[in-house]
Amino acid sequence: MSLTDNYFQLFDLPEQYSLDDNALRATYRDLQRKTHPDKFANASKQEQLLAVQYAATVNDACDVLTSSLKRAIYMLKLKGFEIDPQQSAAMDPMFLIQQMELREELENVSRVDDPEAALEKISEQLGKDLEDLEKCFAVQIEVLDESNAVAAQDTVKKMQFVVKVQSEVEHLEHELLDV
Amino acid sequence: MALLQLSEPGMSPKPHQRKNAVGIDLGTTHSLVASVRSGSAEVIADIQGRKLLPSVVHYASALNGAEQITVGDDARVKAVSDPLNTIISIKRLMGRGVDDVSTFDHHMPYRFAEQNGTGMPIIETAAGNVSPVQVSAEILKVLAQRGREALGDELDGAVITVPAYFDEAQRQATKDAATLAGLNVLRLLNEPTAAAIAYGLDQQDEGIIAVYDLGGGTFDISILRLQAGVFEVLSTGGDTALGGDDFDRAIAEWILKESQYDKDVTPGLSRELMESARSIKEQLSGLDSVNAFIQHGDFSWQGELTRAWFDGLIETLVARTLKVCKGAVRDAKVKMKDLVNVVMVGGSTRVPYVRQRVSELFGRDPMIDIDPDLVVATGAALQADVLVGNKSSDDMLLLDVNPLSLGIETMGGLAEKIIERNVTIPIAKAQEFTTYKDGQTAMAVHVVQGERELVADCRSLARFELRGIPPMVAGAARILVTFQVDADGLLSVTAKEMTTGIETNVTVKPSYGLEEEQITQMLKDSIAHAKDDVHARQLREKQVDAEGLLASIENALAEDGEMLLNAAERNDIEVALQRLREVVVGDDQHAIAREIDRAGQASNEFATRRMDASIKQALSGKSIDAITVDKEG
Repeated sequence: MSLTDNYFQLFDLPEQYSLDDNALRATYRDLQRKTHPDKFANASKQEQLLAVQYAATVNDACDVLTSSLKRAIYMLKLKGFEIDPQQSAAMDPMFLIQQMELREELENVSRVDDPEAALEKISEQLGKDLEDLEKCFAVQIEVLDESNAVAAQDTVKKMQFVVKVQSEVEHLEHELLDV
Repeated sequence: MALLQLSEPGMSPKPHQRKNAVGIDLGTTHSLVASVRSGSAEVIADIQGRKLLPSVVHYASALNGAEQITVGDDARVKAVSDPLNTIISIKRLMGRGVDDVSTFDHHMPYRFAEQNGTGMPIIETAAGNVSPVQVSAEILKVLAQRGREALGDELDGAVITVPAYFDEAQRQATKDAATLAGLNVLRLLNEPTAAAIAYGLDQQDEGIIAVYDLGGGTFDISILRLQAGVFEVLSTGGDTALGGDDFDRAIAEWILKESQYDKDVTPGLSRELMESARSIKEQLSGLDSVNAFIQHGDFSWQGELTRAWFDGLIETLVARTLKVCKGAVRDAKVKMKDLVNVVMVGGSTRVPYVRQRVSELFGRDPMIDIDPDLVVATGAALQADVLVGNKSSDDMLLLDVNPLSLGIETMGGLAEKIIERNVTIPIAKAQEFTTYKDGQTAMAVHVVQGERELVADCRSLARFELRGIPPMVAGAARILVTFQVDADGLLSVTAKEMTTGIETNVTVKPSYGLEEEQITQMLKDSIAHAKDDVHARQLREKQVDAEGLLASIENALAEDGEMLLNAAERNDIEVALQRLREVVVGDDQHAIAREIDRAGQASNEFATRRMDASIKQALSGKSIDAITVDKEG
């Protein structure tokens, strides 16, 4: 167990896409109890710095593993396939049309009678989309090799798309639904 | 010289010694100090029994060569008669630049001095120019003295609270003020988290709680999950320029309008109106209406303010806090109905209208069991007691978050976030960047904080340059920028060119903050002033450091030495420790510093192995240390 371990090893979890959230949280607390700088407030400077480094790694690991998108990108990276933001390969046109329609709905949301309900509906759709993509990726990552890596990367790019729209929905919720 | 003492293996070399630690709530309108004594945390009162120290500092012209500085109630009585030399609400200026101050919606009466380069708002007083950090340090010195008198000895450490929504510059300024006041800062603790500790440990609460903290000048909301002694902040939000001061101002402005006074408002009148407004506000917490008569120079007003009218005056201010609350609940990814408790903190939560609107929003009566003025200092004292080593840290774990996103400027003036808000600290995140032009050999790194897309809308924290990048075509260089936020919420940034390994480290010091050397110099000056011996003090500090290091490594060796080190490795450490023991009794502080470094280096690998082993143990749930003998058993 050390800083150079990958995040799954650090959390003693099997290296697979779907993971047990409760086990993750429990391990997270155990690890923080051992590494948090508060536990070293009385220790030497050197141990304090070490604690910050370890606790930061544990926190980053938890952040990455908890997010379905960050976890997917991380797993691809472990297998040697990076997501290049510059490289925008052709995306599934059906998916793009669907997303464009959602965006249009989002732009008009402030003008409809019940923006709250409209946002709720969009949010639900996005949640479902993301779930489908997660299921798809879980299968792809199990059989990942050079030949199908592009497909897995494509799934992750779609996830990025959906997550971006989700954050826009949250932003609009905050703008529209408040006093 | 006395013979070296050897302790039995596994035994602490020193008998358990209780250390003196305090928690300090450095507030906008008043400040407090608390400590854990005979098991419970208590706010320490002054000799006249006053627990709250008004955060007011008065500077008088030098008399017999000595500056005349008064703090607290004695300073506050001068607020109206000598407004330019009586500094109130200094917290609003902490970590702010001159430019920020000019954008404040409320005019401050002080004369700001020109200060080349620093950009810090320097206040001209009869006793000379002072920075917000120095003013805050004066308040901290008085509180520290209170702590020393109550505990009967020097303080070993202090936990200082800050608003959860304080940015990097405001946190750094607070820490600088504490250093300047001669305090050993164990941790900067977020105010709502401190309140949660005070409540949580009291009530043994489990579940998700909200802490609504409306103080004199700042507003915070934190959503926390409490479980088995773990205080996990899920989200935080706030406004560092919204508080009870603004309620006072709303009343003062209303009075001014009612009075139809059409001349310029002098600083003295402004203070008089604010003081009267505060008194009216406080009375309205218990009464339905208040009659007031105000006379200052040629200004005179008599009238009545009803509570209903006051509620109307502060409605938009309170609404602003409610909007932030909703955002924080959403960021925490919980629903209002998931909350098991809403805790009220800060003097401004005494205002009935605030309580009413907060109850309506959360759909439950907020908790007000602990005095909202005392709760933050109480929680800070409990945390200080743990951090200083008086109480086992096994029972309590605080997991706090980064309140505002941190990032760097990229092409086109856009802010690229590297560490997002509401991520648990400490945290480190790295991101790769590349060059924009062919043959580019240097890269300017501009560190910013905030949620907006454009750099211009974010807070600029620091700028530095990474030089020596080998000339390559645009986009070929790989520069890894790493951000690390420590448990105090303070940032350090590293930039590294990956092909050459050229590295630049910066601990972020806001452009209008104090340089490390400036603080050291100020400290030296203040000590010299007190006719103390700088060297004696520095030597004492080094000796304390050395003794701490010796004790910690000796304990570690006793616990895990057998298990994790071979004979040669152990011998290297023992030799380094022996060298340190030899110099620590002497008076050469440089030799002590050198041997501290060497002992640290010698034991670095051991410390890493111990950490790895302890993680392994956490995961397996089994003891890795077969040789640890329970001496008590």
